[in-house]
This record gives sequence, structure tokens and C-alpha cells, in this order.
Amino acid sequence: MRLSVRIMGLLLLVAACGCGTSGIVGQGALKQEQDAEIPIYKRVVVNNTSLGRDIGVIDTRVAQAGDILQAGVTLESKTGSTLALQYKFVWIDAKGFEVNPDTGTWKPLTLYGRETRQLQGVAPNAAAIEFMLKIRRDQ
Amino acid sequence: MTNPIRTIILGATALVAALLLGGCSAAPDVRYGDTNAHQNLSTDFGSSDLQQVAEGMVDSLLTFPPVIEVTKVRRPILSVTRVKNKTLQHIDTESITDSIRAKLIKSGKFQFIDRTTDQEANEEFAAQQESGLVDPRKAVPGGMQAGAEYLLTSNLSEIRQQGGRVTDVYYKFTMNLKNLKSGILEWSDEKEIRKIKTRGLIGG
Repeated sequence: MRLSVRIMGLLLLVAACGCGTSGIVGQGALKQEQDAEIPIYKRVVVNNTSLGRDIGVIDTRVAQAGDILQAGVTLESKTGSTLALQYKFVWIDAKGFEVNPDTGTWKPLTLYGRETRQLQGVAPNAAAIEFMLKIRRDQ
Repeated sequence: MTNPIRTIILGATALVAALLLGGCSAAPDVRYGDTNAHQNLSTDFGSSDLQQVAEGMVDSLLTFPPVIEVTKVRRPILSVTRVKNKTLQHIDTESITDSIRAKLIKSGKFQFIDRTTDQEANEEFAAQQESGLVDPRKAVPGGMQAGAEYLLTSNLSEIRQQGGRVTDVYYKFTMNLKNLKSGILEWSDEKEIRKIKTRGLIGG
């Protein structure tokens, strides 16, 4: 069955006062019913002025590879300088539990000045129906 | 010297001494770290590189269209060989393949043959068949194990360059999935990692 894939996006910026915190959190889900497209600016809440000034999320999307969820989040750099960041995808199952908790790796990301880049992630198994993307500054 | 000034000097001296003694405390600073954190302590192949490689390979394999087609209807049986380490470093390459194998098993899409525990399995078979301790009706019969359909092979290589204070190390991890029946390479992918270290003006 081909699922109609829509993004239920909600992007949150959480306070990241220290280097150990997760900076930006982006979320998306696979839904069978059609959602009204929500403008990205309404899906983005900026609480962290520092990281929020430097990068923005301009698009999130989900798809399925077989029955495995794939996610893509497009980031843009709003600054002219190179940013050293880290990101990781977190996957959530239908019951709201994190899939394979504590196994997602923080991956390095170098975002050049004014660059737009799509980050992609693949769920560890077919149980995942939602994702979160966490972004923080490199430590 | 007046009394208030002497008191201030004595107080400041005591504070500095306390800070110094505190800093030289005999108890070492031991704490738990985040196993998934990305740490760059050197240009050597580290734990976060291992995790990145394993995740990248598994993501690529799970989303490769012909693999999706095969795993839709059944769980193919794989065997994994040890990584050929072509770097100049001593790397426990078995832990890379262990991580990849664990992630693939947890994906629910594949089954694995583990040849590293064959000796222990043979000892258990011998105990069941020959020791006289096990009910013959309940003993596991030999010669019934499944054979691998596919072989996962991999290489890890590095290119190291050094100029002045800068060391640039490029790692390339290549993984292939070979169909043992046909000999065809069904899937292949590479994961590249580049680490750059700039030494300080003073020291290493």
C-alpha cells in the first residue's frame, strides 16, 4: 500500500546555553491522512537566539524505503562564516517510544557560509513512524 | 602594615592555597561520558568514526532498492568477514563489523551466520551427542545449519598528509555485498571521513 506521505512538522528550538545541550530539534511524522501544509515559519519556534541566528530549517520531509522511514531536513546557514555543528536523528515508534534509544550517533556537520544542506537519516527499523533531528554546536 | 591590610593579605593567601590544594586533590576526576558524543581528540580512527561508518553503511544497505525488494518477502542470510585494515593504525576492525551486524539484525531485515563461535558450537554438539548426558530425542541434530547466501566484505584505508603544523587524514571505508551463489556484487558503498589536526605553536 502506498502511503500518502505528509509532513507533520513542528520545529522547536530549545535553549542551548551550554555545549552539552541539544540546540535545534526538528520533528516530522509519517501520516496517512492529508494535513494542511503548515508554513515553515509557523513550524519554527526560536528559543535559542544564538543558534537560531546562525542556522534555519527551511524544509523537512519524510518518505519510505520499503517499510523503513527516511527523513530529510534542509538547513540553511544565515551567516557568512563556517559553522561546526553536530546532528543526530531520533526515531519514535507508534506508541511514542524512542526506537533503539541511546544508539543514535552525533555526527559532525560543517556548514559553510550561506550554504543550504539537506541532512538525511534512515530509521533503524520499520517500527519508527516519527523522527526528531537534533542539532547543536560542535563541542 | 595595618591590621585590615594584613587580614586581607592573609585571607587572599589562604584562598589561593585552598584553590591550589583543591586542584591538586588526590582523587582523580572520573565521570561517565556520552557514548554517542562526537569527540575529536586526535586524527586517529576513534569511536565516533566507528559509529558513523556503521550507521552510514547500514542506512545505505537498508535503502538500496534491490535490497528492499529482496527483504520485502524474506530475511536473507548474511555472513560478515573481518575488515581489511589497510591503515597504519591498530584498529579493532571486528568491532566495526560487530556494530554493522548488530544494526542489521535489529533492522529485522537480515539474518546472520556467525562463524566466530563455531568452535564453541562444536563443543556443545559433542557434549549433546557424545557425553551421554543429553536425552537423544532432545539433542540438536548436526548438519542442519543454514548457509550464508551473501557475504559482507569491507576495507578500511587511509591517506595521511602532513605539512607544517597541519596533519590531514582521510579515511575511506568500503563495504560490498556479494551474492555467494552467483558471485555478483549486489551492493557496494563507501563512507569517507576527513580529520584535520593543527598543532599549537607551543607544544604538540
